[in-house]
Amino acid sequence: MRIVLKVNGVEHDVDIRPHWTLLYVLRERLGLTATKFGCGTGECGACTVIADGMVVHSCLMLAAQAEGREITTIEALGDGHMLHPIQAAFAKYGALQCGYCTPGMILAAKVLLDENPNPTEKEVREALDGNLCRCTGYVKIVQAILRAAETISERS
Amino acid sequence: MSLVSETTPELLVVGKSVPLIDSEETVRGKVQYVSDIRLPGMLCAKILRSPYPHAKIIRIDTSKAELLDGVKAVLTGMDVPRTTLGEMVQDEHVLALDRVRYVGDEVAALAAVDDDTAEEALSLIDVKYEELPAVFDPEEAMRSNALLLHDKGNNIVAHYEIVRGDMGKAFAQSDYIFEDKYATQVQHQGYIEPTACVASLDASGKLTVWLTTQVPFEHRAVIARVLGMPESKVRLIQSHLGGAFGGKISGLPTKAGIVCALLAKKSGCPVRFVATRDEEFVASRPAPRTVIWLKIGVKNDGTLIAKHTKIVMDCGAYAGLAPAVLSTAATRSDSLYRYKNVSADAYLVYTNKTPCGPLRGFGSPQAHFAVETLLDVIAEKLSMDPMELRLKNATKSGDVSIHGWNIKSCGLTESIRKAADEAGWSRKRPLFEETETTKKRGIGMACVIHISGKRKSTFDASTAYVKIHEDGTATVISGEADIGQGLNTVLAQIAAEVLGIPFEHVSVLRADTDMAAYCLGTYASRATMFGGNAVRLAAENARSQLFEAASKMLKIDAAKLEVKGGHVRTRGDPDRGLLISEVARWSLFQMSKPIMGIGTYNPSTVPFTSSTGFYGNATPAYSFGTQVAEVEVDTETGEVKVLNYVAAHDLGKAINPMYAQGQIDGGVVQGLGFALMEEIVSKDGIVANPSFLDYRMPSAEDVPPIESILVETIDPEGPFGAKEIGEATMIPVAPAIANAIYHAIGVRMRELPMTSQKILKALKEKAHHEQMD
Repeated sequence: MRIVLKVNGVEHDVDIRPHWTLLYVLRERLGLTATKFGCGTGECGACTVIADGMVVHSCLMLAAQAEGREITTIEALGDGHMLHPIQAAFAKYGALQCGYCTPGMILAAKVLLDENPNPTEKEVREALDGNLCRCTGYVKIVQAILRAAETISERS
Repeated sequence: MSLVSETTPELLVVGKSVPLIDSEETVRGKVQYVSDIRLPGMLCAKILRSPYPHAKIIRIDTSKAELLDGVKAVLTGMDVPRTTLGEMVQDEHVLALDRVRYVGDEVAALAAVDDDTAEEALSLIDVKYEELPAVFDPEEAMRSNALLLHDKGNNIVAHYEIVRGDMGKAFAQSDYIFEDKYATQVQHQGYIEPTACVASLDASGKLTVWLTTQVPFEHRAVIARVLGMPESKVRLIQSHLGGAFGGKISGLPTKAGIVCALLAKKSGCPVRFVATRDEEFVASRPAPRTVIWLKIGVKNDGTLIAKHTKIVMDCGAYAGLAPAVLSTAATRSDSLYRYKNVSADAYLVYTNKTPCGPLRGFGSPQAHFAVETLLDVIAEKLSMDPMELRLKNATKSGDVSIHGWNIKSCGLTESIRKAADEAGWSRKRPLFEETETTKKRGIGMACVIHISGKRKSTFDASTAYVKIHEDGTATVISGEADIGQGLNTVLAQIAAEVLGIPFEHVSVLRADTDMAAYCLGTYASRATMFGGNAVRLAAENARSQLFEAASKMLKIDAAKLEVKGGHVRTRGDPDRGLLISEVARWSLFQMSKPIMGIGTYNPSTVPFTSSTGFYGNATPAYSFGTQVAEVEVDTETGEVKVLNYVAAHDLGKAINPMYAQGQIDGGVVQGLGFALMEEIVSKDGIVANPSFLDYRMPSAEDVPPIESILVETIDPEGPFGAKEIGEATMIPVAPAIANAIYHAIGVRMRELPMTSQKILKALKEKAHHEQMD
């Protein structure tokens, strides 16, 4: 079946099979491999994308369900020269080690800070509940997000 | 080998918390992992696995699968080389020949044009099995009348008996003898990136393989051996790796690499395999279930006199690296304290379950759980502060340990004091004993010893290259693999420091067997010690080549030159210098000598194996640490909340403090999972919880505040004094928490994980015993 997916502001005409997930289409048909496969059952969060402003595990959303929504993947953050403040904070404060959970973490953080620009540490940890990390123990991820929140507040 | 007397008194790059070398690309999502690779015509591979724990294969019919449109190659055990595999015991094949030995054992593999077709084709392979009786309990499997898994007389994969000193006399001389039994569970490494492989044959017949591997050269060797190709015709490239923790050395990545190579050869197309998460829980190599009987003899004054350990470790169906996990569990913790007599009787036993293997600590988490818990039992009986008992017996710098380890730098005592101090140990210990509420608090401590390397038979070295480009920047070429911990960043920092150039001017190639010299790879915490030292030596070699050219350019003796700020200049004369790029160009165009440094680090250690009687200086340096856990136990629910955590680790020198802290953070949280929540549960050989939903790993909400203390003892062997920090951080967590739980509620937990159900049960038993008294 043919569907139209709007990803990172660009419309794509895609021929899909009905059971394909959004994750599969992003990675295997649209060449957007920054969104990762970690478990395929919605537990690890490596496949996190933003759909209409909300955190979504793209391995649990059928591609067909994504039609008509604004999908944002990590590739859309920052521009050619500047990193998004969350990306910059992750890099500066050591919030990434192997980097595999990083795209998902950054997007989850973005949704949090878009809705709640001054979260408490507890609120940050709750927002990351759907994103597993095995390398960092989450310590520097939480610190980086709190620092990014400060930076974003200062700028606005 | 003195590295502290380098010409630059103040370190400019080493010791700085720089971001990871590729952090910008990583946060943009632009780094390439194996499963991101796309090659024209690439096929998708899948593996068919045994549904039975033990069965004969009567017949495999692949005809329907082969006829399915889009299927390009199908393989069974009969189609592939019958090469026996196994890192330590040759007991496996690529695909099962006539027998399967665990639920998940590889039976067939195929490659098709896409995942859907491969999935469908897999279901069309018809295998006729004859089920056999199976054995799941290692103590049952050890018995002489047990059914046998392999063609050997018994199911004992390995049996190590080690004796140092006079055990009979030592126990006789002890004022007290303590004995207890401990058990630890099957824990998965839990890396978020599943095992993956891409294999591609080019027109000349050369095979290129991208693999999720910690050991590129080892995997190149096994793939070449099975395919019957010279090793130089196989190129193994390590992509960015999404975590490993010991799980990407053997087992699933080895099978994936070989299978993809064989399918690429048969189909004539590139082939990709990505494991499902289910496959990771069923068919990779998690840490083994281990039962330890521990006996320690002690004097009245707390001097530890004798230690005897009996271990039964559940191997699962195939040996892999499990014998090394057993020998580590049997010996490594012995050098933490100044024992004069130790013995071990350790068994590794086959069962019809998922084969087990190395996980961060490699057998040490299991052993330390037993030892550090029993030490607290001893402290209580002797009315000694657990901290004092550890201080009294702590290994010190200059010691030669019971197994012949030369302890040079040793920050054990320092780490005990610093951790205790930071955690408020002396203040909190008596305070918590007085709480009367249903939520009880406790504080507990545990120590660790670890190694920085492991000699593999006769070879234990590392060689690196450092190339200086004509623009004055440098590239590091090393075969030691960055597995996500930041090794390449550390190597770049070392090279930049030695060459006197900015960190941003150094790039590091990902490990590639075509370009790098043979390296053992990243395990046994050897990467910084070996890879780092090799890079340091290669950079020094490159620097001497720069001095050779510069001395001619400046007409000054090379011995008078130094590098600083991207220049080669005369020591003491900062105004008279040359840009490194100028020197590199002059060396190339005037002397016809492009600058390429080479360095080899080859320490004088000995193999620490059964063939050497497990005696001798095993690795160049040893790391130490102490952790203190503060917990709150809800006596109504059995739930444990870790309130505060302090970890002090002697790592020699923090090349990158931020990332050293990162190893502490990550290790403590992985240890928390081992202590409190993780377990692969299997019943009748079937894994009951093969997903992250039921295999519960810590999330961001489970993590306490962690105070990390870096103890720098500046080791004489390590590059800039650095030792390991990758593994020790995970090891003391379970006993520290267990000891804190005892302090809180007076219940001694001897089995991991310490779930709320187990704690409630233990509390009820304690209340029942108290009623009876």
